[in-house]
Amino acid sequence: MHAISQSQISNSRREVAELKEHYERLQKQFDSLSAELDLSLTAKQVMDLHIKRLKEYNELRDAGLRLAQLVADEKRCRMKDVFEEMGYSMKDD
Amino acid sequence: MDDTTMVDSSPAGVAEKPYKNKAGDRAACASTSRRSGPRKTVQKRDVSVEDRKLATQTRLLFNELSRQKASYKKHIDQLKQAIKILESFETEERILDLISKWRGVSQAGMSYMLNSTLLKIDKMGGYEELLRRECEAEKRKIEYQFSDNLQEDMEAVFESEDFQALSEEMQQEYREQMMEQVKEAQIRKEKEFAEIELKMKQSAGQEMSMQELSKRMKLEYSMIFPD
Repeated sequence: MHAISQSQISNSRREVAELKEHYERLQKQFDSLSAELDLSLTAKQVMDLHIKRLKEYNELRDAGLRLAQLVADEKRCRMKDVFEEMGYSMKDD
Repeated sequence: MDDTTMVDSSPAGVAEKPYKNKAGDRAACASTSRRSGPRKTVQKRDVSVEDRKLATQTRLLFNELSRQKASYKKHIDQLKQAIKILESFETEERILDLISKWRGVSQAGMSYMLNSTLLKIDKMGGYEELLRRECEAEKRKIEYQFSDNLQEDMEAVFESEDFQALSEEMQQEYREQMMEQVKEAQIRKEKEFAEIELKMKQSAGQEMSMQELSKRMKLEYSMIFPD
């Protein structure tokens, strides 16, 4: 195990101080944006919620397309017609 | 390297603290009687212990600083991503709209499929009839698997040269073992049949529901029809 020099310690202290400053700056920015949008979530909660929504969208889209295909097969028509009948667009513009 | 080695090998030094270790004292005394500078040797050992303490403390400090760096980096990364999400909040609202759209498509699709399935079940003779047919098919499958596997296994064993080469007694023993296996398989089969029958009885008087259809179609009901 090699010894840790004092210069390594000083460098680490400096890096921690820089990271802390960066973190505080970002936290302020995040707080300000949250206040604008009237949100009271942590950064992690914002991320988790975003991922959960994307997952939900993907799963519902897969289910919807699969069901629309089944309906089209039953009706012997095109999927596009099924969507039109339902009042939705096939594409997510 | 132990302390004694260090004392023996230490070239010079003045001892400032007395040793608590008796063995160490003895080593130091022995060293005194042999050499001209015993106190210097003791100090060298003190310095080494102090050095090691200092090195340990430095390492602990370094590890703590590294931990703090990793923690800040992780939180900075989370904040950057969260800020990006909040800055384009209209994207988030768009995702919510799309979730709503595809939920609507899925619900409409499920409704159509349920109606269509109910019509087919009606033509077939009702939900109970559908279940009865499914149970029969399941039983046939189990029956086929059991008889087929066992029959093949037994025939293969009895016709093998190894089996023929066995004594009458041994052949009889094997036959009994195989019969035991057949019995066990029969019990398993009856158990599975009983489970199917129970399922059938529990479904009596019921109708095909949206939940049941979702399950059969391997779709998550609660996702399409949330509370």
